[in-house]
Amino acid sequence: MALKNYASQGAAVSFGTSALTGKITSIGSVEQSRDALEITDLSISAGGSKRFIPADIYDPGTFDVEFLYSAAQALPDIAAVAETVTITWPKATTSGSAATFAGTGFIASRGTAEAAPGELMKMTVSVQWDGETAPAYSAGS
Amino acid sequence: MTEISIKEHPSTIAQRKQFSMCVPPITDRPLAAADQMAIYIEDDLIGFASKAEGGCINLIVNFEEADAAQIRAEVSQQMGITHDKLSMIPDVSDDEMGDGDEDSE
Repeated sequence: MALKNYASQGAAVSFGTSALTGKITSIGSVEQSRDALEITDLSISAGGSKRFIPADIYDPGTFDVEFLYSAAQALPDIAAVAETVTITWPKATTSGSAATFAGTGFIASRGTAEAAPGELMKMTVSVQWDGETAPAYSAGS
Repeated sequence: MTEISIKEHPSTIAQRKQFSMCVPPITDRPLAAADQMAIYIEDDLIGFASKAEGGCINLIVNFEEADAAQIRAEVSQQMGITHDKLSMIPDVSDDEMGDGDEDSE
């Protein structure tokens, strides 16, 4: 029986055209949201619940990536145009396939490494999905 | 080196399937990652390649530099275009990065 893999090792992010790469130490979650529009009216009885409907559109969200930094590391291009960004999560079984989450986005912020005694240097990147091609998820196995 | 295959990006396939199930089917919305192809060795996803001439190959799993060069050559041959940039996780020499970095030695 195949084991399910819940471990993070093997997860990766690729930037379609800018070729940003490095040793990734964390990939943040993609936080997507849509507004809840309250439509509560005066006909609702006391003790009843407020009413909400979902907004027609949603925020495609952002996510953060953290890289180890050394002098050989290229910095993220803060002026780059939007590109296809793909998050790949490791496959669940040895014979399975990886899951991907991809869409177009751009580097919305970057942080150079902090240097402190006894600590690793890391740089940070924040990616904003641009919504032009809303990120799509492909389940693996 | 084992056989390399090039397929549509998995997210593009998933989105096309999702749109086709809508009533009526959505045909005019851009597909995620339509500008990218996925690179497989056997059934293992190893990276992505731009459809654009001079675009980028992103290898997302560990490779020796020598293997990366072969992958680069085969991907370009199968896609019929050249790729100027190669990004590879985790270790890569400056010249393999393809960003015009010069060796300091």
